[in-house]
Amino acid sequence: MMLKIGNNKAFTLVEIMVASAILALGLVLIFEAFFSSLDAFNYYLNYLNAANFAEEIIWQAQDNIKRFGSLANMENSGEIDGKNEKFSWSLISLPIDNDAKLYRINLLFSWKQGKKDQKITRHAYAKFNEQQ
Amino acid sequence: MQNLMSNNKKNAAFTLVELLVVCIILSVVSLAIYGTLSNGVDIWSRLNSPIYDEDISIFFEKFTSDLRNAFDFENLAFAGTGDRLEFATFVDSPRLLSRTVGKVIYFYDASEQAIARQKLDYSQIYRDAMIKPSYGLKKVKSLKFTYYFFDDDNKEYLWQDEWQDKGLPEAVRIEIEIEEAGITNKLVRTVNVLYNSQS
Repeated sequence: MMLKIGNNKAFTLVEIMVASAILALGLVLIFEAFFSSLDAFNYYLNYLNAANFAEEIIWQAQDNIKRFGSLANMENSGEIDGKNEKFSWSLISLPIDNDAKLYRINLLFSWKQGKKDQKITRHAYAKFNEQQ
Repeated sequence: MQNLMSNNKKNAAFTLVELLVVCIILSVVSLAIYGTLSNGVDIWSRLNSPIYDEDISIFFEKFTSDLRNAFDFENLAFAGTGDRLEFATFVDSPRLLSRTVGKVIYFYDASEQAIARQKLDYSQIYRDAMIKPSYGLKKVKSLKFTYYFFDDDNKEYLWQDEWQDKGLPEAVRIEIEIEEAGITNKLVRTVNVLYNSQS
């Protein structure tokens, strides 16, 4: 026979389990927040890295179109070893007026970050300069 | 015997098993909390550390805006060599508190391993003032400027390593080698000089 000694109130096993389950849930959510912020940070780093290469590719394309117009012969895709990731890019240039003087350049940069595919796009215009 | 135990209130105690269970739960919980905290501090310090890539972007942004504002001014000729470039452009004047005509010099400082940017407004040029350069980008191993122009005689676009001619080039290409954590990265950026760009 059990006798009541003093204040015998205590947590039951179920109560403890519920409490630790709530704690675990909280920790998981906090971790989730950490990792998503780390993900965003890495995306930002890669974005900065990729933007540097993208600007130069755009310039090359603009220069090519300026000089050769529809005869421009440029690479349409490629791969670049960035600081952390390998970027692959593809470029499309299309005339947007009737005499094929003004071109629109679309550049797509993409890379794999973990399992996700990330990308950035750049757009620019270029004008064929008929002087030669 | 039972009477003896139940009568003595001071005899109430945790059993060994209870204590063990409590210890285990406590340690598991505190381990989890510690893990979260230390991870959090790690991630926080990583996010807060200065980002070198940002410096690169800011430097290129400044360089681009300087060159896009460059113009032809007879007293301040556009002069460039492999690792030094100076030209007339708009600068922020500390005295006038606005943007004014001035000159910007970019050069490579080998002792600091950095690209220096020196900015003078017109009165500072006139007084021949000594302006301390600001170090735009550090950890630079080499710097090279090349100049793009249209050769009227041969009717073609050409690159050249120096610019001492009259007028402005069509574009300037900057090539930088950066050494970061033992790895050398090469960065290239070409900027149109809008003043002279025919596009």
